[in-house]
Amino acid sequence: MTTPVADVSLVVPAVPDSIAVIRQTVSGICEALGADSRTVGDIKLAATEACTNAVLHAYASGQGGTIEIDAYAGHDELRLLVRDRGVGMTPAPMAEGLGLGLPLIAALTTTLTITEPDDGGTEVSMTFALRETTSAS
Amino acid sequence: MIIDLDQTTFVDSSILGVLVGGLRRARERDVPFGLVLGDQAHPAIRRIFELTGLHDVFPIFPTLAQARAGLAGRGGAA
Repeated sequence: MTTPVADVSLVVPAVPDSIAVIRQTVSGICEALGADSRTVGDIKLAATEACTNAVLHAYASGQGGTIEIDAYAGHDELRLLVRDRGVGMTPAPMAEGLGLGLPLIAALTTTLTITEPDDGGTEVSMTFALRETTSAS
Repeated sequence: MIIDLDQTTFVDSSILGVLVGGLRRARERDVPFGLVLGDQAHPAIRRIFELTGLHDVFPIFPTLAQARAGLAGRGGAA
């Protein structure tokens, strides 16, 4: 199976300062695709949450590592893959925070898949609708 | 304590965690705690409170003046 080539790929250090770079990049992609401001805000928030998880949890302190972001643009949707090469999904009962990150991402996306690739790390695949559906509800 | 979010442009789950921690500590000390989130607040800020259900947890006021008036004399149970 051929792996599709991302429209935009970004690799950044898994450090807090990278989050702003990711947000700016995602914002630019969304605006180029004609997304409205609310959708742009939703996608930026979901990307922030996914990348914050990678910064906080993927790598042991001082180990360093990267976050890889691939964006695939469709006509009406955007798919973002956020990938780290860290320790994978592990229970973190003593972690600080409310544990709202993944529920928030789930609320902001049309599909959300979290996998642990065979070569390690965690991959978060998020799909977003770029436009409100026009069908009556 | 009043946190005015009217000029805030971004909130994520980490910031929500800080706010919930502040609310909890305020309640423990019987200190009134509220948020200002008015009509001019960034829509994304209101949205994250709605998505997380935290708009029902925090005392939220539309203006700073109303927050001051609403929290005056109240303890942390607000």
